[in-house]
Amino acid sequence: MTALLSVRDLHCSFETTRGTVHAVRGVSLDLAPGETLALVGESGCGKTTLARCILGLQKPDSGEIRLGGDNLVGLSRREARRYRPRMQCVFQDPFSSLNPRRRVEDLIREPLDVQGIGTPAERRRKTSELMERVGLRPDWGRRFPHEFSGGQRQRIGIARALSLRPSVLICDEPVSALDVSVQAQIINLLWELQRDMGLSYLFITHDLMLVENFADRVAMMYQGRIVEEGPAQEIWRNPQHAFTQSLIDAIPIPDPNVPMGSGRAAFSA
Amino acid sequence: MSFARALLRNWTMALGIVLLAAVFLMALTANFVFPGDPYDMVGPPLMWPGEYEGALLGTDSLGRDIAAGIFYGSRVSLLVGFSSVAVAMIVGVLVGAFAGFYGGWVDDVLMRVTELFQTIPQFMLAIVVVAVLGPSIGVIIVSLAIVSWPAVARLVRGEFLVLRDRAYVHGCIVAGMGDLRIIFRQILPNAAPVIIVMSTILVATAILMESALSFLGFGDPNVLTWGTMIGMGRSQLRDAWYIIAIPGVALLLTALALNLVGEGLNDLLNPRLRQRKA
Amino acid sequence: MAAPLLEIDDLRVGIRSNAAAEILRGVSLTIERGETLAVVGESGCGKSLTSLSVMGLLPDGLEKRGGTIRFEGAILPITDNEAMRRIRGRRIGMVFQEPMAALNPVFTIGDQVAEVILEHEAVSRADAMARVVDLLARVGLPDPAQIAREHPHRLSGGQRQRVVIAMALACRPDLLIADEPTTALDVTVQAQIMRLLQELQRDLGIAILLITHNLGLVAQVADRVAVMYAGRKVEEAATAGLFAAPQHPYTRGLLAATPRPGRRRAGEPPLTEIPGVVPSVTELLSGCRFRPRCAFAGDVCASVDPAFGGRVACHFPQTVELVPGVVT
Repeated sequence: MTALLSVRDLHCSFETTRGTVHAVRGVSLDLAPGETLALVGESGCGKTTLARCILGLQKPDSGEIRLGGDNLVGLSRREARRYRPRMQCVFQDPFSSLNPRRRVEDLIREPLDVQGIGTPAERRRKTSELMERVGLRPDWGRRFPHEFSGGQRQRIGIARALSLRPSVLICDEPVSALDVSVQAQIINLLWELQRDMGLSYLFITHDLMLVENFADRVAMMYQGRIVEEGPAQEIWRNPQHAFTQSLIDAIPIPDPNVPMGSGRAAFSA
Repeated sequence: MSFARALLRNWTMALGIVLLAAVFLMALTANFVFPGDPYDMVGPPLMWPGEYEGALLGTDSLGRDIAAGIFYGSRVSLLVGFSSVAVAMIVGVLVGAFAGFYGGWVDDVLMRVTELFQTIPQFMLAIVVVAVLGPSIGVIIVSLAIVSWPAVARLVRGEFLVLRDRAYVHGCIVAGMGDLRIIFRQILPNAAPVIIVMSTILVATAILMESALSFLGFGDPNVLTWGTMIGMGRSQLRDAWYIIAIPGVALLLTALALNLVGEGLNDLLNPRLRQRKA
Repeated sequence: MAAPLLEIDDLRVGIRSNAAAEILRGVSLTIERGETLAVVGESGCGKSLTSLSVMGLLPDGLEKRGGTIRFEGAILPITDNEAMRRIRGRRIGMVFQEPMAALNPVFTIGDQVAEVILEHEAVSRADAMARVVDLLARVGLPDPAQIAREHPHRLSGGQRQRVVIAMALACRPDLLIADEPTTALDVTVQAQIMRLLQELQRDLGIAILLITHNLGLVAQVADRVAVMYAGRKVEEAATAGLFAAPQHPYTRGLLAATPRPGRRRAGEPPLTEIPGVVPSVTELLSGCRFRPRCAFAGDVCASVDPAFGGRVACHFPQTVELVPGVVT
């Protein structure tokens, strides 16, 4: 099976006030159609920079990012626009990821307007369909983002991302700002959407427990490199790299019978 | 509804709006209340307020009606204040938005130019422009716009630097939105509150500077302004101080009103003070 | 029997501008010497507000509407500012979520920790500094003498949180309030900080009030757990009992919604969700505030807010064991 999204030997560095940061150091990964690949790492490991490169928000130094065979690296912003509909994103912060001055229906419809898809009437119909699909009442369309809870805002963000019918969704910590009960709602929604629409997810997170419950494959990122990669269940049961092992050990397992620092035991049982 | 309630709570802003409305009313009704030319002599010179029936606020050394001067002067003040700031806004917002959004060399070039204008003392620059191009209302508006836009540009740039890194802007880029659309339809509305607040303060400053220009004799000789009136009353300061005091108070109240409105708008539009639903 | 270390009884806190809006609606908690009580709940449940009330640090716009807080039998907050200050910092230490916000960026670490000691004890500056270095070593910081000379921005997030813990411990308090102490930290650092807190508790006999949303942490460090929902304690039990057989539908929902090892089934949604959202403080809702989201709610739930009866505040407490097949 050919990969939908494939990254080859990607390097990215940027200048800060404290000098050059080499955030991504030769990363390669493949995302197959309909699968969830979790990109896991601690803060500063380069996972967010990698996501920004894939989304075209940051210029990589070298390497390839192929979407359905076409290399996106080196394209001008105008050329890249053609590929935009196929890859969309969901952000972490449900408060800063929606323009506070636009109404919900405008937010969801905007990508369709930009890409000039359908007649205005069709776009409006599509917008209410999308709202229903993600569990929002279509008559809420005239409201502003601040009138919604964090979980509902994340649903708005997902509806907006889905409006262009992408095949790849980059999810950057989409539930880490949400409460546990709401997090479950959003994760289940993403799971359902994947089942019904065949979406592929690149799921960026630091929450290892969630990954075990949600992802098909996992790529562990450490200091700008992928240090271990494989099927989620396998990695959790038998982590090879020392970094993965220490990470899994450190997970606080919600079970009083599992002592602190022995996360691996909980998974291999 | 909530706007009206906020207004009631914020009485200083309400006062500012009332004062400002009064100035606008004077400007609009000047023709009807004082049909003649404000430069015309209407009575004996140097009549104190209340002393002469034909001129309630008295007359100056040439027998001109001070009340008429105040009414006609308000037109010039408002016209110059608002037009110059409008021009400054257009230039400043464009420069600031592009510098802040694109960063890099665009930012460097635009900001060096902005700083160049800021290094020259504002009032001196305005005088030079008027002296070179000749004193007329149009030139005065241009000169005040030239000295006002750098402050707008810097403010807008600062806002854009912060807002361009918001996740929703990234979302727009990923959706394939063009730069101009992102700048003007996505980011600018979010920067609008601070820009609006600043514009009211700038109008007050521009009105004061116009009066100062007129006071020094750089004003348009064809129109009567508050600054001209103060300038001409200077020689009678000891025996007829009201000639200066009345336009001075008008100027003071107008500037005060604009500042009160600006402060009020700041409280009203400040997103930090607005409740965000948890 | 001696009085408990901290006793909160029927604490009520409301919004000053809105007489109907209550954020804490009668919270009662007790902490004995040397134990760890975890208070868990989702945002807006009032868990952080409870700890701020203990310290007498209610945010602007909120007011205490009733209830008492006793520390070793004495009622808090003590109106005498001087006496309250002696309790804050000296008898009760506090650790916050954001270590950077708790440290002053312009002073060195050593100065800041020494300041706490000098504030509460009559010792010389040199003695205080010597104790600072001991403290920094005690919280596991390498080369403490060097760290004492650094400014906060030079340290990592985990190191900063260790410094904050050192400050909280500076005067050997009896109670440590830790409000989401590891939420801003990476998981490996989180484990180190939690281990440190456990060690300190064992060695120094400090009681810990752990406020968190992370059920994993609770399972691993708490002796007892109080679950809060919409301003009330809905369930309280010893940790093992709560996790094995939660009785309140909300506790059950929360545990079911929490990712855990080996619960994944092919073709089924990955997590079990609690439908609906937490009601806002101003929402008028009769009876039990969890009712709209509850699968077990009956008619009585709409009219009568259930009282807390020893273990749980619910008309229909559940007794069946939770989710069969969970790895234990």
